[in-house]
Amino acid sequence: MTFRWPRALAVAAGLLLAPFVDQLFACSCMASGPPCQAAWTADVVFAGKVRSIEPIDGMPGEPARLYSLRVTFDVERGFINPPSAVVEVATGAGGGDCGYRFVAGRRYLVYAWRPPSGGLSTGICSRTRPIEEAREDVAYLSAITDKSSGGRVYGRVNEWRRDPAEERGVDYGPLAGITVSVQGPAMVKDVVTDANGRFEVANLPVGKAKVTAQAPFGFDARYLTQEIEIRDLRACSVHDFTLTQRATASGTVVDASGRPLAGVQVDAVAAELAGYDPPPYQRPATTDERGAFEFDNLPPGTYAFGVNLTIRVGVRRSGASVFLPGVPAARDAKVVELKAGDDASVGMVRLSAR
Amino acid sequence: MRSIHRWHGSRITRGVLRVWRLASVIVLLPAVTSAQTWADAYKAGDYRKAAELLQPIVVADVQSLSPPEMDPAPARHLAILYASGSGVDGDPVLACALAQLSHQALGTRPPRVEGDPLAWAAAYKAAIDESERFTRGNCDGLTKRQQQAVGDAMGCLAFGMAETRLTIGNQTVLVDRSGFRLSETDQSPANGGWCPQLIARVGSRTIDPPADAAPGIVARSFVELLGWQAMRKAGEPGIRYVLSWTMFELRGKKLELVATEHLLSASIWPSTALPPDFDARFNVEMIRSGHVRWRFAGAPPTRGWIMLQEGGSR
Repeated sequence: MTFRWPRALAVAAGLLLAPFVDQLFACSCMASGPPCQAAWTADVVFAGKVRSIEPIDGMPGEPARLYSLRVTFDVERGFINPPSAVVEVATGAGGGDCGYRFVAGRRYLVYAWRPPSGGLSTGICSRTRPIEEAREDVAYLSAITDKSSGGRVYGRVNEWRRDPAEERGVDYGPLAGITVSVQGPAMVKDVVTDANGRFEVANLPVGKAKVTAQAPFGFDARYLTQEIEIRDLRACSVHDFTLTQRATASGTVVDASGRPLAGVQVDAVAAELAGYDPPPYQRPATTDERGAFEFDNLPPGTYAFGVNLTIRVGVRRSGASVFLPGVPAARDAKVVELKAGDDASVGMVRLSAR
Repeated sequence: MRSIHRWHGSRITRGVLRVWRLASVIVLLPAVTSAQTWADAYKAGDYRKAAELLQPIVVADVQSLSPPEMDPAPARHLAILYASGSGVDGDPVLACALAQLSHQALGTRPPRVEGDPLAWAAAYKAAIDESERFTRGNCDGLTKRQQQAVGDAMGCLAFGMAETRLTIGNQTVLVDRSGFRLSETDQSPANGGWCPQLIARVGSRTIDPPADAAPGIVARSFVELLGWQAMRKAGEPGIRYVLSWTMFELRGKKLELVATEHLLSASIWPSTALPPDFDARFNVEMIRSGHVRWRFAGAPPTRGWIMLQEGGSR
């Protein structure tokens, strides 16, 4: 087994770089992934029983340490880079420092990292857990062999959809038939998602690569590439993608005499909520010097456009509502139905007096 | 008995006649002064109209007035209608509960003393005795289970809450005043902590997956309750009636509360349980992932989701 140095998770690395505990406000973890991923991002993996837990005393005047507890284990079985029979692992005391709360006398499967300062550390961002909850991990770790034909990338592609009248999107389920590409320095592999939206690319070489989901027409193609690193031919990397439908709409705002108005905030609200002062579910667009506005990422649906159509958080309404094409009542507003992929010109909003 | 008077073939004393007149005043005076319309309908034999007018009065009494101030007459007359099934579907449980409410109101609201205090005391006692007989007449014949239901009805006075059985999937749901419960489990009745005063609809609803649903997504089964609830908002005069919608989902061997929402509001007691266009305005459907979306075209429109539980139907 090769020695990998230093290989901490991204978040853990961030934490280790933080010099003072009081600069940390909360622990936020990236998913550690399944055992086949976590095992190859940790430096040491072992099963052991907690012999003791002691505070790590700093020297007078020394800044507070990130991890304040020293946990001593009697190692019962080593899986990745097996440590000595007795090993010390630093961790935090909990309460936002990402520390894992070990209990003396209990057995654990420990995923530990080697920080630059030496020793071993672990926390709740790893797959460390009581041994009785680590069956899947132990099964995988016990079955590791020296041979493998290559690393694996797998995951799922789901659609999230948001209705214009709703603040949040909802999982609409798996997307079948989406092409997912894995591109490395010397290879490209494409697969297509199955009926459950799942994909898997196998036999990947060690090294960095990009995983990209190909957005079909009507879906937002941004943010669909993720960088990965296959660290061992026996490792896996899990990546899920979320695709959302998108439409764009543009128009202009003019005054009573037809002159373009710059700096006007234009609202797009769900047509069914027009006239009811909905919250600003869509970020307002601001007109440029030509009086033009554009919404470049609207969820498909039926909209009313205009000025002062929403209740903005913390901001008092500055004037009466004016709906496209320049009417005060929602019932008279021109509504526009946007389908996925549409790039619609909605027309001109005429403001009579401002 | 010192003197006699003809009354339905029997002879009663003048003092007792006075007692009877007083009792009538106690029972009917509020009707004359505060609820002329229901009294008119009642006297005219239009019991359906009388019931419609009496229900909100009793609800208002129960919801917003403390028992000592409650008017015994509306509850008593409504009890008579539910006992006889006049103008309403007969409901012995509700009749008993209403009789008890009326009796409580009478017992905690002695009449003002005018004239001879002894005579008034006798009259009051006679009225109490008569009310007790009335209550017994409505309650004594009930089964033990019905008597238990009377307790539920006293706790939550709901008109139109018929006991029924619903079938959802291969399960049977028992519906009564205490709530919903599966017939094959000992789960406590689920009611969502909600007390509707006028039941509009109780039923089961199975929502099928759309044609393009993801593999493994199956139909979801619910028990649905629509009912009007009397509410008083702080700072607002009068009572408002809101149409509450509650959904319980059959999850394994349990009914779980998954949605509750106020869909409509009215300032007067709803004359019909549901507006005629209600179903056209209310849409509940499943999307590909198994989540259920509901929308109601109200003013403003409302909407929400009943999410698929983790590891649920998939």
